Amino acid sequence: MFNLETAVDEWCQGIGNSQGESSELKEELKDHLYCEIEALLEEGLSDQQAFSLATKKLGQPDALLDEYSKNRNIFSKMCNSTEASLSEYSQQRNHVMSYKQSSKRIIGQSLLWAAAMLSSALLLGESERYSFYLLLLIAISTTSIAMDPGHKEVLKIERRYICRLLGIGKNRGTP
Amino acid sequence: MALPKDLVAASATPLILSILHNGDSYGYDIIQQVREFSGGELEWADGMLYPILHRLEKKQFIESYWEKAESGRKRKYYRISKGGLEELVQQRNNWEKLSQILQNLKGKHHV
Repeated sequence: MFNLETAVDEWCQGIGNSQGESSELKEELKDHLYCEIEALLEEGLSDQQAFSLATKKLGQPDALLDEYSKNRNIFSKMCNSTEASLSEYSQQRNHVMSYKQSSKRIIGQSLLWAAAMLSSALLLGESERYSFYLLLLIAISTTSIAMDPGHKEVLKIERRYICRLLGIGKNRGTP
Repeated sequence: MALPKDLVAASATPLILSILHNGDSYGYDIIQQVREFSGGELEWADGMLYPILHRLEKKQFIESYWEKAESGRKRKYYRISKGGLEELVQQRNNWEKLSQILQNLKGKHHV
């Protein structure tokens, strides 16, 4: 059974928690959602139809937050930049994929692996096998990113991203 | 015909300030007013308004306060500030200037 209030609450919960203004933002968007839903109910839509249309119009919580987090921190800047590379890439390839998701995933993975390497370096600092483990980790991380389902292009994009970060190979044609 | 994206973005601030100059309002209502006063020509994506409102608040062109709406829900209202009023006058002048320039140029082609 569809419960409108629960659905709206859950949707609002989907808006990130880490931001200072987020609880105010949640309240504000909740009021907006209800206004929209009430208008749609008056047009004769069911609770569920009204809810899904209203949330669709407002956009995904994630996308909304992206809008907010622009220029907010390094992480989102990195995401935006990867996103740009991704969208450039997919335009060239005439190929649709969800850049926002992919860029977050790439950066999340990279950070995780970087953390794993750093911590193992600290742990194994004294050991003789130090470089062996590190090489192994690099290999695993590269494969894990490369094997990421549906994102086999990720490595190419990462290379492009790194080039962009370093300011080299600008506007080079597609490989 | 829908306005191109860059024009929609550029006109958002003067439109919001104009609406708030006519009276305090809240997000959903602002979108409705834009639709109404533009005769449906200007359709704002719902999600785009709130970041702009919050930016304008940061710039101290508008202020916000919470009040209970008739429905019993908490609602965030916005009002225009003194700085916002000055910005509105400035922006109106700019748009009028531009439209004047376009008018002046109309039909003045070189032979």
